[in-house]
Amino acid sequence: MRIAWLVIRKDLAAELRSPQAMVSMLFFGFLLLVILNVAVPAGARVAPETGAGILWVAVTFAAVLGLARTFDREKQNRCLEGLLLSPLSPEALFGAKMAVNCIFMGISQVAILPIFFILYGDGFLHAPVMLALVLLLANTGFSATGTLFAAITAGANRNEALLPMLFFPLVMPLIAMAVKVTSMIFAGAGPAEYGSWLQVMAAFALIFTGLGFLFTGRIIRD
Amino acid sequence: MHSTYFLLTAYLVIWAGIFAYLLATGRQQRRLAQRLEILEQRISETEARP
Amino acid sequence: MKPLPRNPEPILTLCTALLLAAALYAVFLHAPAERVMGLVQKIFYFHLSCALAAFLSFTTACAAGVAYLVSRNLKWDILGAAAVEIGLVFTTLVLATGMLWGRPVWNAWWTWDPRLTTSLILWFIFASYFILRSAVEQRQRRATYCAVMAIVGFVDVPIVFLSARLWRSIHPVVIKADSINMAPAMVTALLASLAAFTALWVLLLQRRVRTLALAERILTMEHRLDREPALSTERK
Repeated sequence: MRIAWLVIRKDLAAELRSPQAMVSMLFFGFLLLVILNVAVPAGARVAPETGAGILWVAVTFAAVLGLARTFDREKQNRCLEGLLLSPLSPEALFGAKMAVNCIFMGISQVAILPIFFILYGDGFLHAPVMLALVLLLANTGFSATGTLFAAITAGANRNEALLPMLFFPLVMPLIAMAVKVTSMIFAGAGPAEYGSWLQVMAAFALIFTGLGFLFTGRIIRD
Repeated sequence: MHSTYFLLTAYLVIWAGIFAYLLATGRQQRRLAQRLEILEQRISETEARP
Repeated sequence: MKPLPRNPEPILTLCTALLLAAALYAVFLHAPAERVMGLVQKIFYFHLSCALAAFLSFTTACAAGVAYLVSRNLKWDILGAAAVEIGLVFTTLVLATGMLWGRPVWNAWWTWDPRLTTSLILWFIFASYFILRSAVEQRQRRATYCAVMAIVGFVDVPIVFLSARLWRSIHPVVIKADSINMAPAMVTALLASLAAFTALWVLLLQRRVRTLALAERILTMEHRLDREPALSTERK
């Protein structure tokens, strides 16, 4: 547990020194928000569904950029072998990497969301706490699935293009649910209406975290 | 009558799909057989040498 | 190396051919035409059979993945790869026939009905299995990754279905593909085609497993031969 904490701190410190992942995530997120503006007819008010869709495309595509870099630092100087020789278990490594990814996504969203409300209207700003909860659940699911597949693509040859292709089909239900709940929040619906969705999202996050812990040992050792 | 065309197309698609798949696997098998032949030749050559 | 098991293919092929012929007879000559949808309803028999074959494939792939991770025996990896390959073929057929049924009956090629959405995402998940397979060179590693992919994909499918159904329960769409009251002759036709496609599935699967196992053996032999001359020159 303590060593996992050390890995988290190491990654955060490295990111602070040269914020490569953060910069690419934020830049790409902003860029997408601007590009997706073409989906909105000029002068028209954005429908809640469209707004939610735009927000989640920006959020997920930015997240993938961060996920793809999960094991970059470890691969560069054969650090992964070193980490495996240390008393750190692969499960702890998975937990640490997942936490780091979750933190990165959270930070990038803190910056992306205000831009979204500025560009697409603050009429959507209804229940910030519930929106944060949706983002948290989605981030947990994304980072669990993403870290598992980042471990897999780290061992493959063409790993940049590979991760999104493996990642998106699997998280499609999570994205769909997130968009749905977000559009309901944007439309001003109460928590009672989307409670069951949040439960399924939580179940997704839980299941994939479990699968991640179960399989990382095998993946990293091979 | 119009819907009968869809029925025909659907069955055509099923058979075409299965046969295309069989054809593809058959081609792979033929290539494997070629490689096997080359392999046998090479083995008999290496056995004849020493 | 163990010899390959005796080829059961001729008997299997004969059985499959007979069953398919019987299924075709039952579907087109024995079963009556459906009153509302007319002849198009006959797509349903083979459509469902393809879906069954796809489901069998992906269950097999998941089980083979578990078996590989437990035993680390490459034969399970071969079984998994063969199963996913066949599953992908049948899922494609399910989607194609589904669209050809949907067009005349629902008046649309595609609707985002839970079943349709689930099969499409299933198709994507297992197509990415092959992308992953082609991207990893090292044999053991490829097997491990693919086993994980097959298991995770299989676990994902019920979640996809659940989320797609939740979606529809809020925007109700009155399309129930399987609530058809069937005449006894229709049930016979359905069972005949299900049996025929199960036989076809077994036939294809064992054929692919044998081919892939053969490819594997040829590859190891080639590697060994490539190394051997080098060894003999070193000895001199």
